[in-house]
Amino acid sequence: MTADEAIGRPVNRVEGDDKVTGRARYAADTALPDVQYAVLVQSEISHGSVTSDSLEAAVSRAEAAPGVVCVLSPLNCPPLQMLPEALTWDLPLERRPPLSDLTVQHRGQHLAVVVADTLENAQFGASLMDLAYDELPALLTAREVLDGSEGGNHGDDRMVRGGVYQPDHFVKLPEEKLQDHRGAADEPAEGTRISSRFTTPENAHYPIELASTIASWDGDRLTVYDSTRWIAGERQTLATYLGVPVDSIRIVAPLVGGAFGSKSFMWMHVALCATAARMTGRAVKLVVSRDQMFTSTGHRPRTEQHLSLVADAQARLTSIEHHTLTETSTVAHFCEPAGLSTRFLYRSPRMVVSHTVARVNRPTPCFMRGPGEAPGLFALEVAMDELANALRLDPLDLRITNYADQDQASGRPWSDEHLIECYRRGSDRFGWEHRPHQPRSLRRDGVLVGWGMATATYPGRRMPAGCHVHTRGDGTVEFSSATHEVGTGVRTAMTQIAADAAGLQLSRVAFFSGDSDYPAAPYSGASQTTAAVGSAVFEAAGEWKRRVLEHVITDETSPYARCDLSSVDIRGGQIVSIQSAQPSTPVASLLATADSALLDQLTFTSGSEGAPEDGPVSQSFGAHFCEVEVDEHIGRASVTRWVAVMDCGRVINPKLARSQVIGGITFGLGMALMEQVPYDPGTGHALGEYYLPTHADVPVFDISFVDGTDRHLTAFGARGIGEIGICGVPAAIANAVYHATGRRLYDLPITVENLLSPFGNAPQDPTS
Amino acid sequence: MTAGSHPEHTVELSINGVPVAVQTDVRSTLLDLLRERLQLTGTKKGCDHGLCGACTVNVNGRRVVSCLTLAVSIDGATVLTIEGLADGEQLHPLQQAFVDHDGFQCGYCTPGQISSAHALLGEHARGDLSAASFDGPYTDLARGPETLSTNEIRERMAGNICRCGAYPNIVEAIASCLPECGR
Repeated sequence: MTADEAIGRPVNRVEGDDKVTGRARYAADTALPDVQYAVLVQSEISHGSVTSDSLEAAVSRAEAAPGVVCVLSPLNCPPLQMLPEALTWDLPLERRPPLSDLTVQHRGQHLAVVVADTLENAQFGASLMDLAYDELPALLTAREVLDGSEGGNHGDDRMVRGGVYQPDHFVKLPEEKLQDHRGAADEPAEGTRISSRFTTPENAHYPIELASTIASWDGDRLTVYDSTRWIAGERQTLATYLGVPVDSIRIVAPLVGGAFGSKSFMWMHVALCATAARMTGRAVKLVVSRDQMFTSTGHRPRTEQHLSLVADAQARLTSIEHHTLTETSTVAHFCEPAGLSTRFLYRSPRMVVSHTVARVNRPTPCFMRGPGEAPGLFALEVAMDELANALRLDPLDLRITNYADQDQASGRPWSDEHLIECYRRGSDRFGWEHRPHQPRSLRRDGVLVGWGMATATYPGRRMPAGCHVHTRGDGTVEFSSATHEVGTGVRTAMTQIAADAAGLQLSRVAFFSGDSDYPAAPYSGASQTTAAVGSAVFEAAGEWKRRVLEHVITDETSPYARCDLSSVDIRGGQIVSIQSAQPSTPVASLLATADSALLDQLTFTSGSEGAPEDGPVSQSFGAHFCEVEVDEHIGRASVTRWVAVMDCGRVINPKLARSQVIGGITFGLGMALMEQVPYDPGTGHALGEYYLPTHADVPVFDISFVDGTDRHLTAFGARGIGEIGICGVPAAIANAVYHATGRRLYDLPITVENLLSPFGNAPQDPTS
Repeated sequence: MTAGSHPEHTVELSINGVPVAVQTDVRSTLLDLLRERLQLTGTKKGCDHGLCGACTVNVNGRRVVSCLTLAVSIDGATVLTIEGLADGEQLHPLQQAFVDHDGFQCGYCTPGQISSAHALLGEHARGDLSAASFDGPYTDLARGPETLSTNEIRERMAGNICRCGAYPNIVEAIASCLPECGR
């Protein structure tokens, strides 16, 4: 990094002042004249149908309520089109259009939309919608489906499907095999064997911004202000549901108040809001309630995982098996890919991974921060801790012994990999060498103390993206892409990348996101925005610079006329001659006097490709080390100290990168100790609250990054950073709880009843 | 209830120093009044149940969750929202500290966090105690702690949830303001 470079500098967020003054605009903040308010009415049963008599009566009551303009229900909803299988086979987009008939496939399914002049009137109208149902038996868990009489996959030609199935690979990535096998058919008979069953509960993304949509028609043109993190996908999906041309829809997602995997794959309320606006001829605003967010905007599905490890006398893995049973709804496909990283994280000649998905009468799940890795590494990394214990080895030494220096799944080398350095540096910073092997060895202030660690990993991904460049006469250059600022810092990082690639100062560059009028970009997920949109911005800024230099060497009045292109450059906002002593010229003065032809020449749209399909494999790694205190008298585990060392390629902005990793660890802390959507097992009704980490729950953090650069994935060396923070975190905490208490816990979250001493038997000496 | 008969009431408030008289549905919360009637959209709706703290504003010098505050119940009150903290273009020191310490990511809980922190500084100056004060020296219990430890700030901010997990940065931002903003 030189003094001029913006990449690598810990600059503040470019939209920071807006966010601290209340000026920042999110979808629901959009003020439209004469907007109407919509409130959703949802099913209270898990399977069956609403009776038409009760629905007709409810609609009549609501329509007669003060201020109610319209009640949209299966009785009057214009038919919405079905999505093609190409959209629904690999992404959690629902096959069944909303309000298409009276049947109910899950609790919280939309049954009506009440539209009124004010929010209060819409809420009152919706409260009058008491409905009666003809109930059918509901299958609420994967085990019920698997063990039931209709266990086999069925209904593949219908919208509503049942049974279990085994998808071949993850999304559109055939090499990410969900059913995979390497080495001998049978598990070796010799060696130390660990075999454990793990469960993870349903988790909610719980972004603090509620899913919010405002739909407004102007003739045949529809504008949707929406809290989405996939503008391009939503536009295509919505156009299909509504049966209108894609280019008649504009999607605006100004800023997004957190997503973590939700707010994408277009949830049904968006289509209903647009339909209600078309029916009433006026703009409609629909904000999904916090309760409805649990059933209507996705969640991380439950998993049951079986993991078996076998190691030889030298502690080398000889076999690794990871089998996942998970759930999706009867109306959409999703598979939590828990076993993907088991295929390559540790060297093992034998590997078996499988995923089985059961269709249950519950809402549609979707990606959530660290999809696959968060629950999968919980199982794998706890099992590794068990194996270390069985071998009487330090857990870190076991991992180093089984370090994989290349990607075993593909047989290709890593592009830029520093896992051993993460282990060593993290261990030093934490003081891991002082860890006593025996559990229940450390105490402080009357409570037990334990230390745990886990490996983190997440793929480096990159999809195609576009970027528009607009050069203004005032000397600023604006870059734009239909990506999304969900809090990851994309606008800041893109500004830094653009500034360096164009040779301009940060203050002369701006980046805009959140509008389908900008060139298309992929969904903001899979930790790929910096690599994907960053590549589009990098290439566009490089092309902009080339065009400026081309101009100055061909313009006869320029001091650089007839210079060789390679002898001039733009650095820190100055046009400079590399060889000669020619004085530099500010780009700003060139632009201030530029004619419209030059400004037009410097205003253009370009794009970048997806990740290269061959060559080395881009994969991020990291190591987590943590300390917990466990008070067995009240059953409380507190995480007190955290050291994480991450290997994510080049870091664009260390301040924002640290925040991202802290956020990921905090997300994982919630998953480990608090978070579960609790249901009554008989009825599927939600019970109680969803607990999240607060200010009072987080440890002291020590976050650092190894000095890597992944030139294979991106020209500027970055990979991505959004997901890796959470990966391995629940395992590190569970391992620390084991070290503190001697209790090996296999089910998340770890709550008070798992840790209380008066009710549990005194922990056994695990090594005896 | 028949069409048009839902009761309305006029409330008079001082909002960010500006007197406002506004007709409101008696069912309306202060949050919906601010956002939907007065277009003061800086205050955010995160749960509408008093759980998350995103809608925190100051009413008569005390922090409240505006989603659980009926607008008609505070007739005559002085309300301070996130839009009223800065002095023109000059950010309040707390606002600047949140920017400098990266005390937010998505920014959606931020107005509530800053409004809470702003009230926290006043509560500290007044000598108010928190549960964490009982972990300190007993002399703190008479007049309130002289300074606020990290644990004090964490405890006093625990009602504001940040799902992005900016907590340590928020605490640093608030701590950096204590010498000049506290008592």
